[in-house]
Amino acid sequence: MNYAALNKKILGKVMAAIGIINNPEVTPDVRQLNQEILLREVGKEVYNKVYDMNAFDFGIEGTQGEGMDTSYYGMAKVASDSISAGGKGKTLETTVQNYLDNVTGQAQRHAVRNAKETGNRPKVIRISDGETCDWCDKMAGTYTDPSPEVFRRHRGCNCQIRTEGYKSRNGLVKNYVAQPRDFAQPKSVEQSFELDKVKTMSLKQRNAYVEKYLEKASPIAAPLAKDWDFTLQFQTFDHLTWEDAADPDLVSKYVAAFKKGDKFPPIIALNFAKTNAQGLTTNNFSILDGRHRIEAMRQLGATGVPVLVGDVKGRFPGLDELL
Amino acid sequence: MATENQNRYIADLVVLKLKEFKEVKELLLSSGIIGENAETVQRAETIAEITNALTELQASQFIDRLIALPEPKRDTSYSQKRVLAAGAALDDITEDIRSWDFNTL
Repeated sequence: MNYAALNKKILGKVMAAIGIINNPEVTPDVRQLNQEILLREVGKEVYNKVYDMNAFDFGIEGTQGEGMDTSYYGMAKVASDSISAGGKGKTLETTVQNYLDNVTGQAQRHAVRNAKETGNRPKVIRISDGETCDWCDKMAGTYTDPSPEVFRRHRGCNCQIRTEGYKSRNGLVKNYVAQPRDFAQPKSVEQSFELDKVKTMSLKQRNAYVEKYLEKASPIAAPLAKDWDFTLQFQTFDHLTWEDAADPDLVSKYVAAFKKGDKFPPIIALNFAKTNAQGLTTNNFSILDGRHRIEAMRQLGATGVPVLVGDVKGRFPGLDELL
Repeated sequence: MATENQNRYIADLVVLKLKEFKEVKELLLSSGIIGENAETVQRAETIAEITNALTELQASQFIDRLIALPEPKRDTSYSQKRVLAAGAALDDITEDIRSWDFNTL
């Protein structure tokens, strides 16, 4: 089965979603972050589905968790960087297609590896398609013990990577039923936080809201927040840092509450941004309040959360060295 | 040809200082930095294609022009309508993927 063919069915919709996000009136870092989140989410779904279909074919268990290893989150970032660095039309489409095809290849590779470990004998067939390169020609062939290279693709690679198990070889795949997704997560991260109220607040109201909230939640941090301006942003977990470890019992309570549909205030963080010699800035968000909510969201399969970010850039030079 | 460092720096700067891809071409053409490679630049679909068409000197001049530009005024968040539209698009894609089966192939 050439699973990469499935990606062509969603490519148009993914490009349309990128079009919605790519609003030039919004700062590039926010655009890039949202593109990255979109690609991660789509990549995760593609991985899960392709793994699941392969698992059915090979007679092994389907995905039991989030399913996508973090190296492919890095790929979403690379694809998102490529999009942000400019480009349009076919070029942009090729970048996204390449990302999805590589995620598909990764799912096929993991399913084949796991099937072999359980004593199955899946087959991998790589076929060069149309105009191709020497490397693709060299990789073409039928494999019963494929190396990871067999599943790799370069940009614009149209090779077919077919994986076959007992069921597809014997015409038994018609009975396929998708694996139930028992790792239920909130339908939307946005829906799990009290954003309606915060979104409509003026800057002054928002600052007062943060200060009042921190007085109860984190009295030590409250005076810190007093003079900073807070904006609501959506941030991925890899941009967020905190010092104290999360209490597992409290995290479990949050997981249950999120699953039930309870809403919580957004995370509060300060941005200790660093600017390099060329004047380019890298964000570094330090959490004041909300590390348990973040950990709970992560366990539920989310990749980012809404954060009220206080910007300290340039206001207190040298403060980050003191903290 | 522009160096690797110039290419990366230009890619970062154009994202920071300009709003749309076409503005990169417009700036290059209007500044008179490029002459004989104007057609290559006009046909380009990526920043990489543009920077590949520049000499080291032209890239350096282009960087100077970009640095001199003021950063455009932009929002740090999307409108609620756009957030909802992006969320709905993702839900739609997710639904499509989850409905895939062997008949879809």
